[in-house]
Formats: sequence, structure tokens, C-alpha cells
Amino acid sequence: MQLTRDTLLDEECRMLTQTVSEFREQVLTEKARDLDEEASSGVVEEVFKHSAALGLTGALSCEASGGQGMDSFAFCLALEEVAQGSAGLAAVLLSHNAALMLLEKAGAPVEASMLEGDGRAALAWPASFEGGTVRADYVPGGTGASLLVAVDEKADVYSASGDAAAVEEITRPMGWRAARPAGITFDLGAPVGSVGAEGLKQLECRILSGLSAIALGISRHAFGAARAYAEERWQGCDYIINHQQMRLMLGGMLVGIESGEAALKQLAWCVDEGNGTTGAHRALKVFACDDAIQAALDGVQIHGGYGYMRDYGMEVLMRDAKACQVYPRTPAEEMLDLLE
Amino acid sequence: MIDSDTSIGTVRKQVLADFPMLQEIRKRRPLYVKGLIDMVRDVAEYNKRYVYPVALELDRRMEKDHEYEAWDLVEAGCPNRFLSLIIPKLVGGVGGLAVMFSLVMEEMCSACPGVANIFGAHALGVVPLLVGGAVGHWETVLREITESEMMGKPVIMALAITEPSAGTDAEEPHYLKEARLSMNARRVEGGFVLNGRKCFISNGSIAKYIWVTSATDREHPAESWTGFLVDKNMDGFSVARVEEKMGQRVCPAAELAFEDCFVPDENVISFEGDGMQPGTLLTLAASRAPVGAIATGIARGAYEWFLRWAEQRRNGRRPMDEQRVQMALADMRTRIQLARWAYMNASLAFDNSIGKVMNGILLKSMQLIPSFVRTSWPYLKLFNSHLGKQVVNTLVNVYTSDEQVTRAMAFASLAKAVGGDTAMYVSSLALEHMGSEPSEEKLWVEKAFRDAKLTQIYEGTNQLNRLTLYMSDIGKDLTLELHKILEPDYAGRGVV
Repeated sequence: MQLTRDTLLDEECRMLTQTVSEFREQVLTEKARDLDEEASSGVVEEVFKHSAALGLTGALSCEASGGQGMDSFAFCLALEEVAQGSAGLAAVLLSHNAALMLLEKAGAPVEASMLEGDGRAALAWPASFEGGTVRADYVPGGTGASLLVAVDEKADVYSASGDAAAVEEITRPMGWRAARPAGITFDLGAPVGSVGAEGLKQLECRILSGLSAIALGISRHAFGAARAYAEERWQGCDYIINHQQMRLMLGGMLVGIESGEAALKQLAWCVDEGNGTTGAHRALKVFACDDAIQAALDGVQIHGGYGYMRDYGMEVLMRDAKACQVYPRTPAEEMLDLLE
Repeated sequence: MIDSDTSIGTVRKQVLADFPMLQEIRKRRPLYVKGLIDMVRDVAEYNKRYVYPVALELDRRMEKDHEYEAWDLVEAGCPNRFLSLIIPKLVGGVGGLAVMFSLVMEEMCSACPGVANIFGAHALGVVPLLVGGAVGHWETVLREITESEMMGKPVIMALAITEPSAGTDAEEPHYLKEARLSMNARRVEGGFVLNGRKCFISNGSIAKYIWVTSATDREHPAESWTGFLVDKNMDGFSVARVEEKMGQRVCPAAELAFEDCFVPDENVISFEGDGMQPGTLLTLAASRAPVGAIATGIARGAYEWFLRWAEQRRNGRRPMDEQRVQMALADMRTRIQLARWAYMNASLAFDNSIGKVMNGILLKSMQLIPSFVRTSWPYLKLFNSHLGKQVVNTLVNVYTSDEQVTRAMAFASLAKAVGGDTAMYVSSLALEHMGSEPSEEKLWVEKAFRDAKLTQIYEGTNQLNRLTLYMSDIGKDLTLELHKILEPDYAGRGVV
């Protein structure tokens, strides 16, 4: 049952999800374990290039400058598909595309090579600006990025090459390992442009909806794998999918997925129409991440001992969901700001 | 914590504050409670000296080299007798029961549940020898464990129930009847031949002795479920693989292969057909409360590291000064304390029922027999014989009632489920507040988050434990009187 997803897509979006889904099945599934290793740089770059061939490295950039010009709705669909194979890679793509979009909106040139996946950008967000430097403690895709982009509260956009920045790779991330997160510091030069208050709001909406899509991808992966396992696992005198306990857990996952999916599509559409509101996106992000964690925990639980072993690809969902939940801010921080 | 005060005064104060029931018991049995407190202090010092300095690095190392065996940590525990905690004094053990073992597990798991689980899974392997009345093996296997430990050369046990296609089914008599089992024990002259696989066996790759369950009649698995004591050096036994786990990595989980592995009659624990009861059910009644303690320890560890993180000033302010963090801390503290009382209650229920056998007239009278007699061939032959086992089982039944054991099992399942859920909740909530900024405290809490999940799965999933609680305490349709579950006229159930 995937009502929301199936009924809201037009032909173009169906083709996009089909293409990314094939990429996930043919490339990401095979490399999932490698992408989850701590020293996964080579594999990450390899699949990043694969995703470039699908247009995912220039997704949010306009077609005139060589990008795909995807709207937020389509980009979320793509991210959700990628996240079902590797939530870490999805985070890299989100960071990269948000950084390039920001540059473009600020009127700064974007090199074609970046859109084609020959270089990687990362967005230092949220970041602190002090004493002529910008500092971000956790930047998905930060390690190995050739271009770093940041935006301050006044909506001024700054960039620096990866070589010019101090990059401290977070060496023991629990989740999103393929994202190879890093702490980033670089000197502020002159701003490359400004996106204005509206641009800043649009950026935040796109990042939050992207993160919600990643969380939904994790939930979908957990649900799909758990359901398939439950259909073939015999326990308690029956296939476990026929036990009410299991059906409640699986049903609970679907409740979260379908609710999140419906809200995400609605909010992404609002962003595309220029009516994005950060409060709603924050609320959805908190909801989708909470749901992803529960789905991952239940997915592991349904798999029993197999779920806890790395070979079966379930436990990584727990770790990835947790990384997604606290980036860029904790749920409590998001919720406290909802009333403002 | 790594820098906690582990002086006996501080530990005593803390233990008695956490467990008001021990204050009452102390009035009647001061030496018993002193022994408990001393042991907790020993664990706290062991943690401080050996575990905290290496736990994070060891966890990381074993992600890359999952077959690494941390013998140095096991050996370091030998002076504290962690491998002999529940072994009767009769054969050189500490003679502790569920209460002591649970307290040890909580304390050790607050530092590293992977290390603790080596000792925990070992005790799990010892329990069937105790509750199964395998007195003959006490003088051989258990004495070897206690004496080797005193020489600093640990001998480890394991318990193998789970099979590739039967986890929950192998722990519940109703389900066992339709389980898809891979293990089979075929009767041959002088013993049984085992074939099949056991999986996810904690300590499986480092244990010298393993208690293995198998049906001797595939058509009637519940009725013929039998416990065998397997020595790792037996022909036909091998370690097929060591699993790569998400957490609790220091304690290896292995898949064990049995290919025409001959096990002599004297290594059948209790009787053929007694593998479910007393074997599996009593063992789980004994072990689930300590698993609740393991989980409580994980939750406590996560809480302590989170508290330390919250006390530190970040960007000019302490997280702990914020109400949201204060509420989270209070919530964690509440749940940990409730889980703690749940496992202590279950441990007391076990010690006051099944545990009484260990300290009853049976053991006390055996201590009157000179040691050289107890280790002699005729004595061992007697107690490993049908008659010897029958005598022991009869005496066990004198000290316990089905009602007591069923209640102990219900409390144990309650404690296990509450503990596992608490560990998951506390570690997850702590990470939720700590955000994405890296810190040492966060590494510890992340480890606790990964470690915690296993406590909802092993020793019967939390779902099975809830069913056990329902069946034993609410629905009243789980009873240890096996004749109500098994086919009453099953003819294949023999004796050894």
C-alpha cells in the first residue's frame, strides 16, 4: 500500500522515481555495506558520479546554467529513493545541491564541472560567523568537498574552495557514514552575493523538506525489508506477518510513512509555489525523523537477531535515522522555535 | 563513571539508596548485603581500571576485526571471580544468586555491556548445570571453571538455544511443537549424535563448554527437547562464523556447526526430554532478570554520560540549565530507577524460589562429603546416572513449587522487557538532545544506543517476554507442569 506516493505523481515524476529506483537497486544496494564503512571515500565518490549521470548533482540548479531545474517536489522524490539505498549519500546530494542553489540564487557563477559531478560542494549550515571566519561543526559531505558555501543571517552568501578551508573529518560518525561529515572553518572573504530574506527562507524549506524525504526513505526501507522478512519468517506456529504484534508494528510504520508522505508532497508543492513556511517544514522534519527512528527500531526488532547483524543491512537504518534526527538542529530546538 | 568515587563507603551509600529493599534485608542478613556491596565495589574498580580506558577503542577495533578476542579483560576479572559468581561454594564458586549477579551486571554494563556480556553469557551457560541438577558435572566442569579462574586462566561457558529458523520458537514450549528446527540429536549406543546449526550464540567462539538444546525426535520436538553439554574439542563441533554486530561487540556471537558430533549419555543434562523444563524455562527464569539489569546498566551509562555533557558549558551556557534538558534527565532517572526495581524484584523472586535449592539442605549436606570423595569416579558416576539425577530432581522439587517458579518467570520477563525498553529510550533521548556536534560523551552514548538494541532482542525478544508475562501471570496458561503442555502419552520420551 503506497497510496499517497502512487496517486500524486505525474508522468515526469514517475520516470524520475523509476530511474532513481533502478540506480538504487543496481548500484546502491550492492555498495550499501561499503558506503557504511568509516573509510568509504572512494565508494562515495564513485556513487556520487553515478548520481551525476542521473542529473542528481545539478538537480536544483536551473537548466540555463546546465542544471536539471528540478522543483522541490521532484527533488524530494529523488532523495527519498536514494535514501532507501543510502541515507548518507542522500545527505551528500542534499548538501551539494543546496550549496549550488544558494550560489546561483546569489548570482555567483557555478562551474559546470560541479553540476556534472566532477567536484562536490557542501553547505556549511548552520554556521557561526565570528572574527572573520565561518565555522560549522557538522557538515554532511564536508570531507573531500571542493567547494564550501555558507550563508549568514543577513542572507549574504560566502564561498571558499575546499583547499582553503580547515576540514576536520568526524572520524567516528555513528550514522550517515557515506556523508563523511566534517567540521569546517574558513576565512570570510567578500560575500559572493545575497539571496535576501525570502531566499534564506526558501533554502531552509528545501533543506528541511529534503531531510524529511531522507527520513521517509529510511522508513520505507525499514518497512519494505521488515515486511518481506515477516512474510517468510516462520515463528510462533505461523508466518510472523500473521501475528497481530507484527502487523501492528508494520501498520504503525505505514501510518507514519503515509502521513509523512502526504505532508511532504503538500509542503514541497508549497515551496515550489513560493509559499513555503519554515514552521511547517520544521514540524514535518521532526515528525518524519521520529517516525524513521521508530520504523528502523521496529524493522530491526522484526528481524530479530538478524536485524542486529551488519550483514543484513537493517541496523544501519537505526544509525542513519539518528543522524538525520539531529541535523541541522535537535527536535527540541526545532519545536521550541515553532511558536516563534 | 570513570572518575567516580569507588570507595566502599560511597558505593554502600549508593547501593542502599538505589535499593531500599536491601536496607530491609540488611537488618536480618547484614553479611549477605555486605557481600553484595563489596562485589559492586569490585566491579566499579574493575570498570575504572580496565574497562573505561579501553571500551571505546575496543568497540572500534572490533568493528574492523570482529573475531578479536578480548581475553585480557576476562583475565583481568579473574581475581574478582566474575566467572564463578553463581557457581556454588561447594565447588569453589562465590555462591551468589540472581541478586548478586544482577547488581554486577548493572554496574559492569554502565561501562561496557560487551565486556559484561562475556560474563553474563558465561553464567547463562552455567545455569542449566545448576537448575538441571547436573551435580556430577559440578565437580568436573564447574570446578574446572573456578580453579582455572583462580589461576588466572579463564574457562568460559555458553548456552546455545537459537537456531537459524527458530529463535522465539526454541524458547517457548507451545511454539516449539511447530518450530522449523535445524538441530537434531539421534540416539546411538552410549549417547547421541548431534547435527545442525545454532546461531547468534554469545561466547560461542570462545567457550570451552556449551549447553546445547536439541530435539531427539523431530516429530515431537517439545516432548524430546534435551540439553547436552558439548565440549568444544568434541569431534564434529566447529565455529562456523563469528557475526559482525552493531553493538556489544566485545562479546562474540557465533554460529556453531554440529556435524555428527557425538555426545555421551553422561553429558545429557537432566533427562532426555527435560530440555525445555527444567532446562530452557528455568534457565530463562534465572537469566532474564540479569538481562534486565544489563539493560538498566546500559541506560545508566547513557544517562551518566549525558549528564556530564549537560553540565559542560557550550557557547556560554550549560545545557543542564535549560528546562528541556532538566525534564529529559528527570525522565531518564525515573525510568532507570523503575527498571532497577523491576530487575531486583525479579531477582529476589528467583532467589527466594529456585535459588533456595542452591543454598538448601542438599548442598549443605554435600559439603559434609569429603572433597576427594566428591571428585571420585564412583561419585561422579552415581550423580550422572539416572538414579542420581532422579534423586537430585526430587530434592529440587521439594524446595520449589510450580507456582513460585512461574511467578519468578513472570517477574523476570517483566524486568527484561522494561529494562530493554528503558535502555533504548534513555540512550535515544540522550542523543536527541546532544545534537550533531561531536564530543567524547556523545561517542559513549552512541555506543550505548547501539548496545541497547540487543537487549530488546536476545534472551527472548521483548515481544516474547510480554507474551510470557501474559501467559504466566495474566492468562495463566503457561505452567511449568509440562504434562499440561506436552502430549501426555508421548512414548518416545526416555531417560538417560
